Amino acid sequence: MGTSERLNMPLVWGLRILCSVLFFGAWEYAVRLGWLDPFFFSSPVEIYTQIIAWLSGQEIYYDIYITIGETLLGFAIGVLIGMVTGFVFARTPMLAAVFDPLFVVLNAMPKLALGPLFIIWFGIGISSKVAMAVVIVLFLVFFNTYQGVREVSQDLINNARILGASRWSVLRHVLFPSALGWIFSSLRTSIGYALIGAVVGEYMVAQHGVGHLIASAQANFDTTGVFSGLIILMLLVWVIDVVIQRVEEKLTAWRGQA
Amino acid sequence: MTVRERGASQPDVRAEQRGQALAPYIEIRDVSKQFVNKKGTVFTGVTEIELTIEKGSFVSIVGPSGCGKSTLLTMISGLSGPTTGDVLIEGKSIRDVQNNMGFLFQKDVLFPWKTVLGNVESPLLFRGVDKSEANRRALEWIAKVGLKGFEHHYPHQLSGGMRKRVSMAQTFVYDPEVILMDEPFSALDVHTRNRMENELMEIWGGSGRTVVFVTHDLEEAIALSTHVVVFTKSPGRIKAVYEVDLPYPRNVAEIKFEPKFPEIYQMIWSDLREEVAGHGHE
Repeated sequence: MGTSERLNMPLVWGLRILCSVLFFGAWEYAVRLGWLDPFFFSSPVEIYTQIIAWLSGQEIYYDIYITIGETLLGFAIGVLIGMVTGFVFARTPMLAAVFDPLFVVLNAMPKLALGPLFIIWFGIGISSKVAMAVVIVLFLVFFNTYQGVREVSQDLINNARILGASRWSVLRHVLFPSALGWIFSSLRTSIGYALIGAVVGEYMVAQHGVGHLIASAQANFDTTGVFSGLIILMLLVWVIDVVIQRVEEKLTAWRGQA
Repeated sequence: MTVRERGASQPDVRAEQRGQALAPYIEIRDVSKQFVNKKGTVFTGVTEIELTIEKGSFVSIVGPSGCGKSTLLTMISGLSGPTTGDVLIEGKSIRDVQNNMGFLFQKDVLFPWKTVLGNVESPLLFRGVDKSEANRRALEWIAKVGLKGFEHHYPHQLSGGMRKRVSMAQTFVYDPEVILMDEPFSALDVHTRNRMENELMEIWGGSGRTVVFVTHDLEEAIALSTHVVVFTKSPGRIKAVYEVDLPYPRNVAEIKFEPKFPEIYQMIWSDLREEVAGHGHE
């Protein structure tokens, strides 16, 4: 948060811990007193025990590896295609005009609905999950890149041309860095979406992955397993987000502390 | 068209000092420029522009705002072509951006994601100069515009005046033969402005470079230029061209005390006032 420097940080942390203790304490207590049915709500202690049990085993790491792999692969391919097409369309008004209605329709469509099709096309292995992640990321990055490139100041392009920049140099030294801010804001969102694509794909049908883990726990009416899987997912997204944020800070250092 | 050539007929000392022949260098032949706005209305920016600029001269264009002064600069730069007529440099028609031109824009157009050094060396790198040579020349110019120590700052860390200096270094570093300037100093405070005008005089003086300078400030135009071109209000035409008969080198702050200065000012102002009347200028 931007205003955190004015707040008393130890107090903030104290309150955060207090809230967590109250929440999990109330949950645990309610289950033990029989106010909440453990069949539906499990309990913090059981979830904790389950996670620890998983983490001390080996299978969970393979599941995480598979899910992260699908996510990153889908993310990378989606970003690449989205950025390139975004650039090309933004710089070719004719192309953009022709395909504009198609994009509007495709973007309005829920991408997750393509899941069954991808399973038929790519099978139940990781390819169908990667494909899910790709379509979701692709559209997000495409629209942001398109917008970012179109918003580039014409004055800046003119100056670069006067200074002797070729078309390629204009792309590299003006359009790309200028669109980078837009692209990055979409990257942070899209890594989360890539994970959604991968996990939902795993829900449908899979042999491995965190989504598969959650789905099989659900099939066994194992609420504890479902909760534990969700928490593992949360931790994964959080780690990825921190990494992306670091990279973004590095690459857009020229903006300074605004 | 009413082009009046006024000014003294003394032997041209400036041309001799610069060792330049007074041959036509940039020729603007019966140029007009029309724009179509979003509603489809045609708007005439400038019309019937006929102007010859000699090599090594410093030509200022003055006129009311919106009269198409900047449009003319853009056409000379090759960034956009005229609707009718022709712009020639050394007899050749300008079709695209030329690599021997510099353009100092009114707006801030430094690359915000490059440091001062990165900005100043970029035109050299665009031209294929090797990295170490580009680096050396850029550092030289950064020092020349008084920004030593700021090489690794980003534009957002500099003041408006400092950013203008970076722009100047970015333009002068590749030594363009023609320098177009669109009210480059209008956003600066008066002291910074005087200092930069003097620096410009120093850089231009004796370089043989040709400058076309757009301003709405007549005093600035006279203080800097060999010639002042007066534009009419929109659609812009050339109303008159004056030769400024004041000696170089000039100190921009002190040239105003030359006895001839107010004479020249009044002469040009009598033409300009009719155009700016009702525009709320000066």
